[in-house]
Amino acid sequence: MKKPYLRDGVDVYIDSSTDGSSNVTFVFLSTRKRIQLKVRDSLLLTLPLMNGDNSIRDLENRSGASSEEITKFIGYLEANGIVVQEDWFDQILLDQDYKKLIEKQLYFLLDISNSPDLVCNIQQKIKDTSVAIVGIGSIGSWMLVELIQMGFEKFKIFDFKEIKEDSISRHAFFDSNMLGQAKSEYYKKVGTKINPKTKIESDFVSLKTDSTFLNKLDDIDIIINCADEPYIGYSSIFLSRYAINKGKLLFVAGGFDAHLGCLGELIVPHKTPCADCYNEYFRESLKDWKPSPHPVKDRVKGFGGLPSLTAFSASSGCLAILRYFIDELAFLETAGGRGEFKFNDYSIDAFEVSKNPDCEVCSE
Amino acid sequence: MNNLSRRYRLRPSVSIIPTKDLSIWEFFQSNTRRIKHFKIADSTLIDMVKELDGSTLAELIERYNTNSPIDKFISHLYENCYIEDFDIAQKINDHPFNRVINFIADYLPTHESIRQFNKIQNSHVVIIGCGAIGSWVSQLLCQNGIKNFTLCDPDVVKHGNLNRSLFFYCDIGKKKIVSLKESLERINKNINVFCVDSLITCEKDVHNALELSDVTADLVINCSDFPNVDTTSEFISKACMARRIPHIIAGGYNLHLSLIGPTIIPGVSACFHCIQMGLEKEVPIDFTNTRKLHREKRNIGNLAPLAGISASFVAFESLRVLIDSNKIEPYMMGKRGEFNFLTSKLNFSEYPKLPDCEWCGSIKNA
Repeated sequence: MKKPYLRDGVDVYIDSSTDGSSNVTFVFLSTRKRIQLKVRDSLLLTLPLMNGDNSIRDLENRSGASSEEITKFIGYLEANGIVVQEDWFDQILLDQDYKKLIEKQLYFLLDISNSPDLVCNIQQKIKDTSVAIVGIGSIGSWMLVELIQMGFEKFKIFDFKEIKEDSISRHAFFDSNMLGQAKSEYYKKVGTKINPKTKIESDFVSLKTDSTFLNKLDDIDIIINCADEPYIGYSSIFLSRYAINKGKLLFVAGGFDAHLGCLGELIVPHKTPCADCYNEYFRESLKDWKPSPHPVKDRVKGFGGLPSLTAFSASSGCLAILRYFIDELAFLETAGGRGEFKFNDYSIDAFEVSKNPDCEVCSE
Repeated sequence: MNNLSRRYRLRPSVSIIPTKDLSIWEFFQSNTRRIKHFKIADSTLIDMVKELDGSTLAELIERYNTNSPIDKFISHLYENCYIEDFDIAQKINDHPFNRVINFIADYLPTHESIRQFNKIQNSHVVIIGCGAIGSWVSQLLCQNGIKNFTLCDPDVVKHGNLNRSLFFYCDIGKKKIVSLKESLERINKNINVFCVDSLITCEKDVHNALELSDVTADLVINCSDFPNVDTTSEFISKACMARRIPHIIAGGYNLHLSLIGPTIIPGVSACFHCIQMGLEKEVPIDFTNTRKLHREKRNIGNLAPLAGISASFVAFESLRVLIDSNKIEPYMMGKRGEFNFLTSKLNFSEYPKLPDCEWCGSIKNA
């Protein structure tokens, strides 16, 4: 390493003692991980100098520690994600304009992955992934905005409705001048206004009525289901069976009417429960929970919601997708379940859902 | 309270679920996922509610032959937000903000939810700092119906802002407050936005910003982290305490990515100083004699969903502050929270209002 740089995402606490050494605690801000070391005072002097301006020779000259000691110390710090090469950002092999837009995210990914190489791999994967959003309403529009901000560049978006007056408290970048315009067409424009290099195909179509709908997903890597008509359970099973068969990722979003607090779940074919597994789990666990028929026949406009609840659901969905891209194995260790945010006391209820071994759709 | 000609219906977002005990019924408010069980000995009453779609109280009394006090039962369900006034509900249906009003109506009876929504609309919110969190918060609040804003920020939009702030590529080079004002006016043409195009650096700057508009500020939100959030929060909080203005310290800034900041109601909740005193006591034992390595201009990165989550909580709290009711009070009074990126779990720490606090000890409940 030519010029070591103490990562910005690591706090350093020094507890000096009188025996010529100090206890040094490195605290990783994103993960709250801590590493404690006993460091000789001569080596300790090198830490404030690891700011990207100094070579190992400089550190040697200004600290009194030997070159061998310093190299070994830096090797340890680098292996543990505490220091990086000062020009790590320049070494990321991504288009300069693209890097400029997502600079802050690359720093964040470095904080999580501790490795410039991993940062590059994760972001390249994000850049290359094609995303379909089925239903570009409240949750769908916010997820589109955030995924573009995260560096996804290829999208197909589907919806069969227009922007209405009451979309004001639902949709991202709502524009009262666009009432009556097809949502799919409007959000194609919004997407390219955030990043002009984003490629978005829009389709004014319903998955329920178009028999060729699934063919449109053939070149897609991840499907995001935000289609709550006729209801989210129906559209999720329809898309999940296709996704499992084709080996595609499916994110089933939450946050709809009557499911306002649901955080949504990422379905990884054959590795996590599929929509049929979820359906079976909730069918069994809710078998005794049978609401009486509701006297109000048309209830659509009677449900409540907040734009911030929508944004919360969409954001937690995007985080789940990012966690998968950062580390698939770590993601799968905790996958399988549904979270539900409670506005009343800001708590999150978690339900653990396992793969159904008898599932006809996803069991091997 | 009850008027014989008032028409009622079961709220569309409320479900009634039978339990194994035939006399106990579950009422589920799906908007807020809250459940309440009622023991109802007279099955006629539950039959009546299950069919409630616009009947007047007079019709119900006539139709259901029971000795039970129907008017009291209806009144209880109405005050507790399980049934609603049919005629007001029809008006809400056609309102552009029907979702927000219907949400509030999980906490407040229909007529009161309309009144409180009108109050929210006419509130004036001052947002100091219009970067990642400020841009999200202002748009979410505008989409909640709020119509009066003061936005403070001297910066221009840069490429690097677009990964988490709600700006467009064509906004690059424009003042953040100008871009944001345009965004808010696209959302709602009938709003008033005052802009402060300078860096708020001290208590006096805050007072100046608060005096810019004739409309008194109902809420101030600190989304400014320059030179650091402790400094900005301290002088913003001092100014707000002097004027008895509720304020929220937002999280989501550099080094505090997933923080959910406290809501401070002068004279009611722990103030900024109470919380700082509480935080000082929290320093881990192993760090007591420890010094922190000082480093300039750190960049730990940020990303859109974390900005969205932090901003969502600020918007939740704003709504709770602006609704003047003890049925939906701010949750973050005397609290700081943290959203864990890796586990999606929330943790909160509590900080009491200190009776002898030099900032708020002498302030009486407003």
